[in-house]
Parts: sequence; structure tokens; C-alpha cells
Amino acid sequence: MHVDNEPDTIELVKFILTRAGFDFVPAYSGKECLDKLKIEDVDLVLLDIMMPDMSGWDVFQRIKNMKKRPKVAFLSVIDVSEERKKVLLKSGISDYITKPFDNEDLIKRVKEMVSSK
Amino acid sequence: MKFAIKLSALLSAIIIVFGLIISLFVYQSNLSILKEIEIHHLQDVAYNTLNKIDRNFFERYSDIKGLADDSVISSRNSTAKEIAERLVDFRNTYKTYVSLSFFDTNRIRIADTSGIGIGKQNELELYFKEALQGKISAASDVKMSSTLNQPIIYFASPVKDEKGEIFGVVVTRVPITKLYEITKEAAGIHEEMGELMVDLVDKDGLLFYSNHNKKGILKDNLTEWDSFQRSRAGEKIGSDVHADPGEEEMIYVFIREQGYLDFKGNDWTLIIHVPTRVAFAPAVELRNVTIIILLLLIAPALLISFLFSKTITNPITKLRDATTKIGKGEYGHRIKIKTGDEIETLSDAFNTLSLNLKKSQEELQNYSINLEKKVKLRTKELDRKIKESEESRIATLNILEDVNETREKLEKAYAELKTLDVMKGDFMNIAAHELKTPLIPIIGYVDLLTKEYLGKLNEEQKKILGTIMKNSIRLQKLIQDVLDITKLESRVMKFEMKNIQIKDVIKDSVKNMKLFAIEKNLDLSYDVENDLPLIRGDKNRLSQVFGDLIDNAIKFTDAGSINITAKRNANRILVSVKDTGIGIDKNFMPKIFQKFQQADTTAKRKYSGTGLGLAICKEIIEHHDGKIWVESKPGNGSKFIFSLPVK
Repeated sequence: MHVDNEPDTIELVKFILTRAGFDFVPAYSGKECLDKLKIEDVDLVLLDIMMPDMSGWDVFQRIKNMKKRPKVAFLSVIDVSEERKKVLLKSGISDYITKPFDNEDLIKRVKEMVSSK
Repeated sequence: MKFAIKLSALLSAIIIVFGLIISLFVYQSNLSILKEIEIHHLQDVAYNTLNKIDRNFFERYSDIKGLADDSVISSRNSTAKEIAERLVDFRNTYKTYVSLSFFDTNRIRIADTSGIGIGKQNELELYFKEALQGKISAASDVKMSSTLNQPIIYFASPVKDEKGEIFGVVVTRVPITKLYEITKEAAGIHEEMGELMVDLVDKDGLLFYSNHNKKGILKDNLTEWDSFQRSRAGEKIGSDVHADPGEEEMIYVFIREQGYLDFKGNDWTLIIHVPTRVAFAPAVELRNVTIIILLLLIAPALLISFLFSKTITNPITKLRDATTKIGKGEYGHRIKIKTGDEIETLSDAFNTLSLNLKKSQEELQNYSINLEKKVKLRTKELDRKIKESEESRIATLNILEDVNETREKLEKAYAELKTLDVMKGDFMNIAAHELKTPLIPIIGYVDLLTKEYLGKLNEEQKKILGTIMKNSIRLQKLIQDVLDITKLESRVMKFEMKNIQIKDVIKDSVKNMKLFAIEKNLDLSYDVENDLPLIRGDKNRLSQVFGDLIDNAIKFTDAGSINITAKRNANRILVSVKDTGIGIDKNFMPKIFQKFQQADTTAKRKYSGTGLGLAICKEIIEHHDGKIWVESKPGNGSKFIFSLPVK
């Protein structure tokens, strides 16, 4: 699942990941993401942080409390320090990818996250 | 032992004290009794003495009465010579008279045994007067005889004729010595000791006999004496005890003359007195003897009472010793006391107690042995349990530690997340987001197209896409640089300052830029001094600096090499990025670190760049408390140097 309020970005990611062989579920808001998560069986959620209604953080907090919770990675333009990254990783985030991203890099990291436990 | 002494001393003291009290009491009573006895004795003596005196005088009285009745004397016809002879006969017969005389009624001495004074007139003495009145009289006055030099008493009797008429007086003179003899005899032993004092006084108080005051005879007057006064007052016999001032106490006994039969007496008073001390002599002697006896008794008394008290203290000592033994732990000790009193009862009780103690002790020992065994067992169990609990406690502590650690980290992470959340509203982030977002699909799709994911491309298409990509990346870089410089200048950018080794940063940067250098056939190397001290810096930002400097170097060098050096200079580290490029124009040098300044502003735009790189580097270096400058000559390459303070 990719959660972002920018449709163009979603399209790009969808194109890349589906070509790479992943099943792709879009969500254009935090609320949509959570609703879809109730019905869809998702392995990984790529979360944008800066969204108007609910920030990526809030969504992450909600996902954390779920049973059968999927892996979560942030996909954001916001640049964070290494220290912050470490904290985030410790708090349950599987990865932090900055936008704009390198296409190959994205595929590589998604593969890593999905395949690992 | 001490108790025996105390007890014996006490008993002895009691005995002695009692003895003393009793003897004192006895002594005191003795005194009064003795006094009484003495008084009675003296009174007896006085009475006897006076009685003897009176009896003697009675004889004289009888004598002179007889003489007056004598035929010769009582005849008027007798001659003086015959009378004188008769008087002499009388005197020789009776031998008590000093002299006898016959007077006529005119008081003329007719006859006298001594033959002197014939014809002389007698003084009208009382005795003569009374005789003329028909009374046989004893001179109540004792007179001193000039011839004999001793007191004498006159006895006078009237001489009557046949008709009973008084025609003469016969007078006898009696010496007082007879009196002395009588008194002496009566006084007895005391007289010999000189302590019984006898005084005879006449009715006027004149002392006419004394066995102790010889000089006062017929001179001293004893009217002052209590005894005399009381006698004259009418007391026939009495006693008086007093001490004259300055004198010792005396017992006085007085008796008034009673007379004898027809002899009425001369109304004399006999006073006998003796010092009280003499009377008390027996009592005093008894007292002294008693005291000596008592003193002698002290030693035996002490001994006896000591032995007696021993009988009491011996059992007590036995008890004490036995108790001490028990105190030391020798239970079961018994004592043998057969005194038949309460002490024996006590010792029996003690023996019972001792036995019980022994029993209890044995029971206690048994019990304590059992207890010890039980305790050992329990202790083993307890030790085991303690060990178990200790292990679980440690385990629990470890878990707690972990939990705490995790909690802390979570708290920290949440705090971090919260701030990140806040960041959402931060302008910089919003700006970054808005600026960067359009580039995402642009770069993304161009990349896909370029990589022929959407179909094969011809050369022209590839070229065009290349241009688009190049410019998109340029734009991306520009946006990033603008964001960076803005953050740097507004001090929003956060530096993660750590102790880092500059060599590591240089190494990584060179590795990253190696390909670009190889692309242009340039040599990229570094020279770092050994054992450089650590500096405090943000690795990422410093990498950015190196990246930018190397990037510039590559851009402005067509051939040759780029070399990075780092060496120590006092308390700073100097880093230089040297290239063999085109160099920098003199006019441009001062502006080189300013924003949006590019070396080449020609239309050729051969050198792309944002113009912000060096400005950003300057900000970063200065943020590290360092300095950055450049040395360059056109055509001779450039050397960018910055210094960083050693940690």
C-alpha cells in the first residue's frame, strides 16, 4: 500500500512497483489507508508524512495498534537526520526513503522489507 | 564474717548499755536510800547523845538535890567550917565537881571547896535567881572558867530549913569535859575520822561545844543555821540537807534537849552534820565496783556474742556459697543445715530449687539440641529458598531494566515523533515539500523512459530525455541548495556534532565522487596525515562540503588531478582540495563565496551549478567554527582550504 495525497506520485510508484512484481494498493489519505487496511491483506505500507488530514505519524500510530499489522516505511520529502532515522527504526518503522528517490533504489528497499521478517 | 562481727558487736553493746543503765538506776536509788539511812542513823546518834547528856545531868541534878537535903547543909546551926567539910566530902565522893559553894541568901559565899572567895558576893546570875526562887536550876549559860580555862556549867539548888524556908543556895560547878566524852563516845567511828561534826548550842544559839570548831566555843553564834532555827521553832528532832555556797553538800540532823525525868534540861540544841559524800560512800564504792565489773565483762561479752552470731551466720554463709555455685552453673548443689529454725527451712527450699534448676537445665539442653537440629534443617531449606528467590529477583531486575530501557527509548522516540509531527507545520518543510513534490513524477518518469521501460527510444528521444533529466536534477539541486542555505542562514538546520575523524569523511567523499572523476579522466586522491586528532563535526554536512568542493574541482578541471590533503596546524586541522583546473579570475575571488555567484556567466553555460554551493560550504564550515578560503591563479588551478578546530 502506498499512502500519498499526490496522485502523480502514486501513479509513479504504482508503475515502478507493479513492474517490479508487487501488488499495489493506493490510498490518498490516512483515513482511506486505515479503512482499506481493515479489508486488504497488506505486507508493507509506504507512508507519506505530509498529508493534509492526517499526517503519516498519526497513521503509523494507528497501524501500530492493529493486529496483523503490516510493515511501515516512510516515503517523504522531509530530510531527517541519522539520529532521527535510528529512533524511527526503533519505534517500528522499517525504512525511511526520501523523495525524490531513485527508482532502482526504491525497488531494492521494498523487496528487502517485504521479504524479511 | 562481717555479719557475725556486726551482730556480736551489737549484742555486746546492748548488754553493756543495759548493764550501765541498770547500775546507774540502782546507784541513784541507793543514794536516796543511803541518805535516808544516814539521816536516821544520825538522828539516832543525836538522840542517844543528848539522852546520855541529859541522864548525866540528871545525876547531877539528883546529886545537888541530895546535897541540898543533907542534914548538915540544911541545918541553920551548922557552922561554915562544918559546911565546908561537908562540901569537900561531897566532892571527894562524887568526883565530878570542880567545886562546890554555899551562899547565903545575900549571895555571900559562906563556904567553898576550894576555900577561895569566902565572903564575896555572888553575881546575880540566873541560876542563883532561880535557886532563890526555889528552883533547882542548871545554868543554862555555859561559862568559861577563868581558873580552869574551860567551859563549866553551874548547878544551883536552894537550901531549905526544917520549916521549908530558903536560907541558902548551894552551887556546884560541872566541867564540860564530861559532855565531850559522851559526845565522842556517841559519835563513834565518824568522830575518829573527823567527819561527824557535833555542835551544841544553848537556847540563844551560843556554841558551847563543838568537836570541829574548837575556836568558836563560847564565841560563835549559830542562830543563822536552819537547823537551829527550826529547833527553836518547835521541831524537836529533824534533818536538813543542803550545801552552803562554795561548800559541799551536808546532811544536818538536829535535836532539842528533852531532859530526863525530873531534870528538865537546859533547852539546848544538838546539831550533828556530816558531808553527804560520806553518807554516799558505800553507794559510790558499789558503783565503781559495778563499772569495773562491767568493763571486765566487755571482752567475754564480745566473745560470747561473737560465737552466738556465728551460729546464725554459718548457715547463711553456707547458703551464700551454695547460691554462688548455682550462679556459676553448678546446678543440683545441696546444703546441709540442721539448725532447726527458719534457716533450715530456707536451706531445704534452696535444695529443692537447686534440684529443680538441674532438672530444668537438663531439659533445656535436650530441647536446645533438638532445636539446633531443627534450625539446621530449616536453615538449609531457607538458604535454598533464598538462592532461588535471589535468582528470580535478579531475573526480575533484568527484566525490569530491559522494560525501563525500552520504555525510555519509546518515550524518547515518541518525543522525537512528536517533534517530527510539529515539523509538519514548519514552513521549511512545507516549502520543501511543495517544491520537491512536482519533481518526483518528473524525475521518476523521465528515468523510466530513459531506461526504456515504456518502449524503445531513438537517439533523438534519448537526447531530449537526457536534457530533461539534467535540468530536472539541476532544479532539484537548486531547490535543495536554496532550502539548505535558507536553513543555514536562519539557523534552523540542525547539526549533529560528533567526534569524528576527518579522514573517514574524506575517504567516503572521495569514494562517492570517484566515478565522476573517472568519467572526466581525472585523478582523485587524498593525503591525510597520520594520527590526526579528532574534530567535532557533523559528518553529513562535512561530506556535503567535500562533495561540493570535489564537484567544483571536477567541473573546472579538464585534465589532471584533484588532491585532498589534511594536516594538523597547532590546534587546527587544515584541509585542502587542490585541482589542476582553470583557476579563478582575480576579480571573481572576493565574490566566490557569495550566493548565486558563478565563475562563468557566459551564454555558453558550460558549467552548470546553482551558485549556492560555496555559500553553503562557507556556512557549514563557519558553523563548525572554521574558516574557508581559496588560493588560485587563472590557468594554475585552485586550492580551496578550510580549517577546523581540533576537539
